[in-house]
Amino acid sequence: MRNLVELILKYHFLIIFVVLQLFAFYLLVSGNNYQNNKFTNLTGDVSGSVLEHYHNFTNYINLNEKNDKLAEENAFLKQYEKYSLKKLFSDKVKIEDTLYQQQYLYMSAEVIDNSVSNKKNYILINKGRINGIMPEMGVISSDGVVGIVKSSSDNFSVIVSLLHIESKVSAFIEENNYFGSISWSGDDERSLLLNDIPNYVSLKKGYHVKTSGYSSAFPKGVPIGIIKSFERVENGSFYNIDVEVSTDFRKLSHVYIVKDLMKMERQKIMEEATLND
Amino acid sequence: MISEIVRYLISLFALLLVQIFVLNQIEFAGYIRPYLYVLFLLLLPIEIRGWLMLVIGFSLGLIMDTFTQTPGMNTSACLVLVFSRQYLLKLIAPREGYETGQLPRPEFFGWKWFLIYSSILVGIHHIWLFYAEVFHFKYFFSTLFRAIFSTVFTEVLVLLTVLFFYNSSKAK
Repeated sequence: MRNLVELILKYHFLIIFVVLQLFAFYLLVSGNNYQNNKFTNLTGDVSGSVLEHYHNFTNYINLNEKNDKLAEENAFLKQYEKYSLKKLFSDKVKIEDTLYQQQYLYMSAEVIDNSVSNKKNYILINKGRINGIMPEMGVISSDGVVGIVKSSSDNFSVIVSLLHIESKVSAFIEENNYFGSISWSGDDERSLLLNDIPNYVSLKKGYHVKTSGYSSAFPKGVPIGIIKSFERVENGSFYNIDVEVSTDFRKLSHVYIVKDLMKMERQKIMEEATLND
Repeated sequence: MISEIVRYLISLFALLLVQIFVLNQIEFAGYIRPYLYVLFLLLLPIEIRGWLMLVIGFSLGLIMDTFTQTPGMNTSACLVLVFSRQYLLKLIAPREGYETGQLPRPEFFGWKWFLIYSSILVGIHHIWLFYAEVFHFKYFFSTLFRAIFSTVFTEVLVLLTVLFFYNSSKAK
């Protein structure tokens, strides 16, 4: 027993190092978990509120440009307002529209911290659990897809940016309807990879890549980017396609969180279907 | 003694401010990311006990991780830095050993000594950090290049900071 105590005393430096290092690795591994992690749930509010003050301060610098962009978007949305539509029939006919039902709701949020230079980039926004934000919700900007919510504290959420080497978004090419998946190589913050497009499809530079709507994170047709270049892989059956991102991640300031009202229904029927297998 | 601790706390606070609000916000050529905050660990007195250094390194890393949403990354790298520091200090000690009151700064041991001391530790910290971030050897070489370039950049910042803020005339 005395020897043991002596041994511990003698190597206490090494022992403390190993214990603390193990703890750090525990954080590292559990934090690498793509979805939801406890660390940001715990610390998000602390760092979030500090970074938000900073953001509020620096936000003034780009205010003009941002206002222009929001005004532009407002103008675009106005065309869908009721008063912008012309009535084609007399008002005696009552139309009960059962063709359309609201499926997606959008909530705006401000980006308060963002990076593009890491291999795994995250974005911090100023809306959280009390605003109804949950993991796996999609995040878009007025230009296109931004990422997917990873975890939320009460007032803040962390988003896995499209610029994250493990991010994956289901996409399709608008011009020919072929679908594949979008990922990031980790090198250039302006370009993404479109995978799984078979090499017998004819492609052109400038084709539009949009979300496929296969996952409940994004509605169908949110822009991701346009095809910049492509090449056939030797001995492979797929293309290598470079896609230029439509979202400028360096300038990101306002984002929208997508809430799918039919997510539960979609999940339920998927579960039922797979259970019967 | 108390005033010494206050002085270290102020320098810690300043380094954290610069790191979080300036260096973390600016992108240097896309690849390079300087981590000047490790300078705090480099400059702590030589006679601080090993276990205390580990606790300080651990806490500093944890604070940084809180602000960059990277659980464990900086914590792990800071622990490795502190661990190597204890052995490196023994390795490059002057022949007659350290005297009490001597600090690991150029004013005590010269610029050449400090350059070796700081670049080795910054290098170890950065290489560990960049691999911990990717957590994979898939990007072995690109990660290595990023780590090396960032080390050079941090080292330049370290030398400049020491030159302007820690190079007082009380050198012997």
